[in-house]
Amino acid sequence: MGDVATTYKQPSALCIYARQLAQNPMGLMGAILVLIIVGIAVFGPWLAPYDPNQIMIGPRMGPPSAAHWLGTDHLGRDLLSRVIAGGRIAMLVAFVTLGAAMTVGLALGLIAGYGPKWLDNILLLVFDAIRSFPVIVFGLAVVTLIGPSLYTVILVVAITSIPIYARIVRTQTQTLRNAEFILAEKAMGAGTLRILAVHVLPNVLGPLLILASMDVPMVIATEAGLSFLGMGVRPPAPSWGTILNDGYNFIRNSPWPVIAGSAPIILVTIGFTFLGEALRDIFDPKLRRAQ
Amino acid sequence: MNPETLLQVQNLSIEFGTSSGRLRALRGIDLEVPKGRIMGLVGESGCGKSTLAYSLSGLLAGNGEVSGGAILFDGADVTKMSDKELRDIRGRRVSMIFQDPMTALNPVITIGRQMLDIQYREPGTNAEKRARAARMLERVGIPDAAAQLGSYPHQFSGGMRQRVCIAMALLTKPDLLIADEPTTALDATLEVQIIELLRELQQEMDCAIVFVSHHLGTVAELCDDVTLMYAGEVVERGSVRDVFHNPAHPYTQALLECDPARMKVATRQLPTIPGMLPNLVDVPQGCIFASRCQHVWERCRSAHPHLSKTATVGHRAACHLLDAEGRT
Amino acid sequence: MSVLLEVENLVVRYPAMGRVRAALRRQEREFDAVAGVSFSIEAGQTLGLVGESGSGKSTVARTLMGLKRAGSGSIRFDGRDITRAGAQDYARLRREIAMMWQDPVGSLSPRLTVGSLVTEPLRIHGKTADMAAEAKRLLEMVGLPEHFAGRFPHQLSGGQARRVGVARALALDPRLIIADEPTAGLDMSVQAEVLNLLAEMQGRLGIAILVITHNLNVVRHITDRTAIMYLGRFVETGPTEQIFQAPRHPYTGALLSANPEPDPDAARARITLTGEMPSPRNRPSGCEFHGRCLRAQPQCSATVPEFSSAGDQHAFTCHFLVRNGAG
Repeated sequence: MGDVATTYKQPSALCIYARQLAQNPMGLMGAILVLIIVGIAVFGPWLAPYDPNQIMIGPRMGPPSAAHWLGTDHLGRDLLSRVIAGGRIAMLVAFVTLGAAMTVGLALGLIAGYGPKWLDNILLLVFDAIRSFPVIVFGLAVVTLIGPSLYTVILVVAITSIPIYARIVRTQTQTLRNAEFILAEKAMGAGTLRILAVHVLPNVLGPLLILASMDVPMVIATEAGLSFLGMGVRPPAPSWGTILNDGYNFIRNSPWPVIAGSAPIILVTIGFTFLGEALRDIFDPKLRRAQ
Repeated sequence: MNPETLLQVQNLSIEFGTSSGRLRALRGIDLEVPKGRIMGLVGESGCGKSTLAYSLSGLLAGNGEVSGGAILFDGADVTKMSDKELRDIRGRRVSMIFQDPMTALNPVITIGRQMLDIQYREPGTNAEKRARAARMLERVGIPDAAAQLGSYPHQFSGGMRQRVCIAMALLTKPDLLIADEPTTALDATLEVQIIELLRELQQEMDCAIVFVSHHLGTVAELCDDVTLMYAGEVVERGSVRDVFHNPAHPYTQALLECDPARMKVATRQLPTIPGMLPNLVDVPQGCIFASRCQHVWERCRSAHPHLSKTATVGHRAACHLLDAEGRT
Repeated sequence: MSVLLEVENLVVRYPAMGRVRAALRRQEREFDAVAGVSFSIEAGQTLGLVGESGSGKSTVARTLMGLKRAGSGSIRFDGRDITRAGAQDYARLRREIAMMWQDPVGSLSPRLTVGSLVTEPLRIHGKTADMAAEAKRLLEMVGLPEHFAGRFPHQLSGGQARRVGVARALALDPRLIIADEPTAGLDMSVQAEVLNLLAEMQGRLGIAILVITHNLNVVRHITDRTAIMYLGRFVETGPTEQIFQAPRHPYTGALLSANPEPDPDAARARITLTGEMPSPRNRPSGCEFHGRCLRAQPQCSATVPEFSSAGDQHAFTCHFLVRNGAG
């Protein structure tokens, strides 16, 4: 091929992703928002000015002030500290739930997509059955069975998310299983496990991560929704949902608790959605060809 | 402009915006298609022959842009036409056939309906148009043509589908047919059939054809004139006989040597063209073929060669060897 | 020389419709994509298998690779019958038979680097070697610079990807390489590079090669023998040079003339076939080529032609002892 003596330095994949993300203003904004939110959640205990459950001597339903940046709630607790602590819970729920849903969904999806037809049919039936329940109704049913708690929320959201991930993985796997490079690996003698782990998995992981990134707000909203209804995180533990619920009862007295509870939900939604869409543009290796 | 000239491309340049910069896909293209002649547009992948063919009927990908020059179709500049003017010439005066006949036809509409639709500007009743469509299908060799009007594209085989596409393209009796690798996706024995069909139809309808191909053998057989492209430039043009018998550009010579159909004796070492296509974002100075040329000399690296005359009239090549004064 | 691969009367069947539909219509459920072909390849020899789409040539390749079951007939590799070999036996065979796939880029796992792609066969077969050194050796062998080891398939041109394919095929020192359309989608100048590379590798390593293609020109310079396939059967087999100099079957003649040389004044004894290849689900009677043949006589649609010999292992199935181009 007599390749001209251009020494081609291969930039690392991560480096390319980062550069492309930086070139996409929406994606960059999303990434920064997500970093800030995750950072606050991780370092929350050190950042929060007060104990989120400590009842202050100062004003109740107080407006923002130098001492309480977001004001105080109906019991006189510092709202900023509660929002930060709520963020920790929201992130915990999001990552545990989506991690579990992705892992199980990935495994089931690979089995359905690569395994025998009858197994695929059975799994599809199960997925459809789960998906036919509305999430909140299913959640309420589980709560009445095992009682409200943080773990109930995680369980409900994880179970209802699994079919979505599994279906994506299954479809991707099915298109890949007849691809020529998979046949080539088979012809070289590669076993099923190797084909799935080395050749199928890296190709389905991208779309899965993008979907997960876009699902974070959905999970957080579900958690907030269940907590708002009193079916999720138990008071006095702060969740954005319970902050909203508390504020909602006193909205005539002061708008600040409602604003403090809803603003982070909106920011999380924007951040993860923008990031997810930017990732979708970047992750496809074919779009990277212009490099 | 010569009244016999149907299509004239003057100094046409097309650029594409890419993430690594502006890709100069076509640079200073000059060519001419007389009325009723068949011109072959030949080159290897990446030479810009399809981009040129598409731009002739005003079809360019979204990130493409004409950065200079003109495409005169019957005297009117295609690059300056409004969408409406373009629609008026497309399908009526300029038709196209494509490499993949399946994607060129709408899969959910019958052949008959599609053939009626492209006649919407023509006078006559629907019954007349249907009859015309059936006659045309019969002409391109579709058996039982009238009954086939109710069929869908997927009911035809690949070869038959390309025949249907040709029938549709010629239905409105265009002045110019642009054929973009119409036989590449077909088997060899079907390719022969399509080439013969095109030649017969061209003689009957007297339209000009721009035939894009990478296959030198079919070009030699079908075309009157040939234009060779390399990396976004025309390197040689002339009548098929002149170019294929006395290739003047080193690239043409090398390409002809590579064609295995030319070799009369079996060999284990086939000729190749070493090297790679130049980067079209950062186009090298001088002759575009210099890095792969066996006859390269100093002027090739500094000055860009223009299409110079050869010994025969109408045969031109962009090579400094044709004007090699001062070569050491 | 010893026979390495021997295929006898190979039949490969594909289902045409579901069991229920077949029962209702009282039709055969399966059709023969490959309908009884026999050939053999000696060690270090190259055989070309030429046919158009639908001729069953790729099915032959997949059956040899154990990706598709043979319906009947036998396949012997190095004296062992591998027609019904199980997964275990094939695991060993796959070190000795390598395959080059039709799509140069699409047959490379898209998220692996070239370095891991060429050493993948070693890993699969549990060879413990210095993978980086092996990658370097293999890339050098096929003429790719060492730094290509870090590239991904989508960063390769068709010709470069094809070279990676050759390197992968050579990784385990196979005795037979099956090359399915080795020049598909490549430009003329690159096509020659790949053919030269295959010829060189064979000369150097003494590998037997089965080249499968629709383009007769491809087989001419690198094969010793050629078989022309039509509708799942061989219509002509023989030494490649003889087939080019004196094709006997009208279909071979048509294929040869379908690849004209680029000369507008060349004497064109163009044989244009009418119609298209029939479906193997619905085979014509008698000589299966009679519907498209320019020389067809009444007897052609009635009687199946046997193989006639044209000397020196050159055989063809036509009722007439036709000579080159005459007709």
